[in-house]
Amino acid sequence: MDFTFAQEQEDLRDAVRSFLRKRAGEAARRELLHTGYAFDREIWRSMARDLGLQTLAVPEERGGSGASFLESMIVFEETGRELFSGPFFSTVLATWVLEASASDAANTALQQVADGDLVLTAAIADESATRAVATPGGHRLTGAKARVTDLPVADAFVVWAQTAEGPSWFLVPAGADGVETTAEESLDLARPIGTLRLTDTPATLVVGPGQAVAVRESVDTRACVALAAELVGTAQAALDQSVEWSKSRHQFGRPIGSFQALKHLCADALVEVEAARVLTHYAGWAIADGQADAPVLASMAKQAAADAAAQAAGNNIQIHGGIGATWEHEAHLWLRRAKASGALFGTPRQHRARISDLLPV
Amino acid sequence: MNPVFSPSVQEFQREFADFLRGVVPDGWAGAGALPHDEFPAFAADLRRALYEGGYLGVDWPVEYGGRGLTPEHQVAVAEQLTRMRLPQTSLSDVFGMQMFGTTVLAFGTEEQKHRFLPGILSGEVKWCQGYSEPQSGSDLASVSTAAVRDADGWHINGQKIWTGTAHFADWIFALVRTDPEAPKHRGLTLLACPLRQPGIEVRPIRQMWGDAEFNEVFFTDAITADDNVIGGVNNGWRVATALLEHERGGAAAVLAVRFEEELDRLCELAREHRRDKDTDIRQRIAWCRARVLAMKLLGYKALTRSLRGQPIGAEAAMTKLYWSEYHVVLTDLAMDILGDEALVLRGRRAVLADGPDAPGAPTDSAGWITAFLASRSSRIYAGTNQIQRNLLAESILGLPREPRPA
Repeated sequence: MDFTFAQEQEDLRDAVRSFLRKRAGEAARRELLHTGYAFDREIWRSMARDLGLQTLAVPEERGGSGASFLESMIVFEETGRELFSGPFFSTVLATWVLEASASDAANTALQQVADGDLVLTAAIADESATRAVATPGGHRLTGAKARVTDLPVADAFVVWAQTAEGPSWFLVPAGADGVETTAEESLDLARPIGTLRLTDTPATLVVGPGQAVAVRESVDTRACVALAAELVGTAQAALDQSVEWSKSRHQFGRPIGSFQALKHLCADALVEVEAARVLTHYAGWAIADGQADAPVLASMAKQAAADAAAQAAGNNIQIHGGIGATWEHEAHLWLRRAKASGALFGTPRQHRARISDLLPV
Repeated sequence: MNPVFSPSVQEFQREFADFLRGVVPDGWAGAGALPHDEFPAFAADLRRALYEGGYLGVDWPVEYGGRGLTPEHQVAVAEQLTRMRLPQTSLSDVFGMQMFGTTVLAFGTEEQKHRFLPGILSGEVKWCQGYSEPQSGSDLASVSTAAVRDADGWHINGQKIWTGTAHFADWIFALVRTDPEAPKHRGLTLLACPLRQPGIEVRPIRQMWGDAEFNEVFFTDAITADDNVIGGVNNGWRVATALLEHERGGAAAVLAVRFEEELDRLCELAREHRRDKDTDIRQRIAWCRARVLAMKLLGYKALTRSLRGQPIGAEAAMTKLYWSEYHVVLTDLAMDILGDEALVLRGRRAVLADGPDAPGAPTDSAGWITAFLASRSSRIYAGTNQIQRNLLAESILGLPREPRPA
């Protein structure tokens, strides 16, 4: 029995945390509040070239570091903790699709991601039916994809579309003919979302009908645990902020953290974060270890982490009082992330429905 | 990371399963399926078989009657018992083995370990815990039952309350005041005391679910020998709080297995009442499933720590808070599924009201109603959940203490 991370994994966590604190921490969140979302490509390249984060779990022969899903999960917990304003989740999500493809296009893209030169995102949900037509010169896609994360900064899209033979995955460069992107005003300021419209757009098939559904299921499972890990990080950050503020803010002649009403809010958040954390780590281990129950574990982790993050972020605003409800204070950034990521890849309610479908009632 | 039993523990668990197959009769439906009044005798027989087979106290040192194995083996034993629809030994073992035994192992003298531990393990001597007092409530350090030493030993006067299993115990370990002049946390001592003596009277308290599991214990010049001080005179607060960690946290992974079985039984209830397709019920069951798994994993984390020789510490409070709040939600759900059938106690009552009933119990309304009522007390005993939250906030999060009156 060993329910802890190995020393190298803890070292990875420390390295990522100190990198993000220094290069993309509080200062970046201030910028987010004052000047809006601005993605820093220099930090992105450094994350890829110096730390190898974007392709941590990509096999070495394909340009990655050959680590397991557990290592990726650790990084997600840290990006969630700092609310990293970059397309990390979107890019890694897209690499999971490309990893399943033996095509030259996938190999090239993975190498570019490893070099920090390519930002990807996955376009999965349909705004309107997205169809792929095979032509002598390759496939052409027409349709619209909804709620594509990090759409405004992506260099290429991994798109889920229907062919005559069944659903498949395609790679589409952002500059291809017939690509139209519409940025939306996003709840999560650190993760812009948009709609992708494709009109007779040339696309490269990366995963064909035989394999695409299985890849999607596996991507869904990993996405849920990645988001759960981010949410655990976010919940922890909100709780940490509550605790710091409770210790330093004085009212009625004593630190407000000495009042039981606030202690109990913090203690309840702590218990929920810890429970979500163990569920997430266990689901991450199950994916890395190839356990058959990984999908249901992913749902358990996702709903627990979304609830914990919403609770911790909501409490954090309450504990800060008036200042916590201003635009100036970053407290609302955590709440935005908690709710937005809670809905991405399934709300807690949807995941609970899925748990009941997978485990007999 | 490898959150599964190690191969040697898995092998040990298989041996234990073989052993249990020799103990339970053919067509075994579970201890919870036994008639209410046959359960105590069955549990006593099972305990004897486990003791004789060497499966009690498997993580206790060999010199005091244990097997010298690890806490991981202990969890494997508990898991296997539930899997085969057997209860976890007897109720008094919570106090005897888990709490007092573990405390003697940590704080007792060599002589005390040899004197007390084998009798606890064999079941020959049954123990209960004397902490709470009518006036102390959640303020445990305010206990006022006093002990004064003279040539005969310690003379104890005062009253304890909420003393589980005192009605059939032989000994009590009591937190008593031995220095009335010292600050309240510093004048306390943990004393082991024979219960069956003229100076002690035990009066049962009937709980709201109808059973009398708790008692009042009155001390009127009761006497215990000087060598029954555990962990030093006036050092009782330290010893008592370490003991509470065992009460709250030690058995987390074990508890979860019992809750898993109970949740399966609740699903059966939902099917019987044709509520298994109901969206609301399914949502709540799914939520419970994740909670029970989290409970088990929090236990695995604590187990990992204890295998590394690290203390459980204040996180034990988290386990207690988590499971007792969960059980209130679970039993509410059972009452909702029962609907107006919850108006009548029909069928077999729960034989174990502390947490889930014995595995294999029927889905009778009387069982769930008992559990519903009893679950309210688990948020209070072993330190109210508000006290647990204070503890978590202060010890883990480092929030400032409530100012104390001078």
